[in-house]
Amino acid sequence: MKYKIHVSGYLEQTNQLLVSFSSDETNRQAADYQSLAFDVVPYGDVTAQQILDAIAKVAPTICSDIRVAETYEGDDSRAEDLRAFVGQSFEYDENDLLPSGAAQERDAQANTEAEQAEEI
Amino acid sequence: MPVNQDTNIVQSQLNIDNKVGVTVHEWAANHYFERTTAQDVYHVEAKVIHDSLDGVMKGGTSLFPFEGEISITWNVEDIDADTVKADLSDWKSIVDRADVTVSEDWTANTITATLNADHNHSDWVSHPFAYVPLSNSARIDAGDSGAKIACVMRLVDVEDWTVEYKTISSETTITKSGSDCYVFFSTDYTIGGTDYDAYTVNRLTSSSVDVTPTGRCTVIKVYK
Repeated sequence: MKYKIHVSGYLEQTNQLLVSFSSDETNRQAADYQSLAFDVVPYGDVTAQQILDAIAKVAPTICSDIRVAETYEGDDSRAEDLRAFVGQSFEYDENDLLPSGAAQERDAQANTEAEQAEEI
Repeated sequence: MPVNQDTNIVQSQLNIDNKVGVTVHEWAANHYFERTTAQDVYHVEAKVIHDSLDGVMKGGTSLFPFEGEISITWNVEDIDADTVKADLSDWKSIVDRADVTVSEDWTANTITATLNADHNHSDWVSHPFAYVPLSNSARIDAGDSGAKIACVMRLVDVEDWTVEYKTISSETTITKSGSDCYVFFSTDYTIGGTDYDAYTVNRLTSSSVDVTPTGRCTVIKVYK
């Protein structure tokens, strides 16, 4: 897979580099997509090329999101369900959002180096 | 920690052949396991309601007491109390066995089952609590004289395994079940002149083996 990144601007006042991305699987070229602004200060005392190389590492994630958007087929029923959420607040228990203790314990056991049972 | 426990593990075979794991717990009177959420029901990891009984859900079938006594107390939520009460007699029928005693306290909204693990099962039996009262939290306590418990974890294909157990005291033929079959013995034992230690788990590849235990022995068979 090849990825392309297009630098469309450098905002000196805010120290931001404007970059857009494409891949072999996206419908259009990088320059045709909306740019994202990357703050360059957090990269520290490195060269411009190193900043560009670091920003390039997010290309697979960005391009994957582009593909999802480009292949998305509308779902009227789901859209109706989503509209019904508007104006409501929801609460989740942490147990519904995090792996359960039982699942973590089982996974930990499964990840332990296996010993071979003696055959009888 | 979602699963609270105070236990004494005396034998660990956490991962056997990347398929099952067995730990053995020897409990004093103050030892316990406790869950505070239905997500911590082992092997179920959710509140899975019985097909026809709204007040009953799937239980964790990992703990197999083989000596002493344990009690399990399920804490019923206020909002579920009427639903659980309505289905309680049906649930009692499901868990009705000689080694199980059930009591209920609708002031505290708790249901307690006591399991006598010293009871001898001459035939293979399955886990007594495949179904339990609808509850988020529950606690297992050792009886006054403690208890010994084998924790049998299925690491893969969780739904496919069958676990059953019986009590033997003299030479007994143990027959292989399924295509993948593991056996656990609670005492030292002998097969064909070879001695084996208690609590070790072996893979039964022969169609059957003649096993001589050194005393009252619980055999647990895990197969699929």
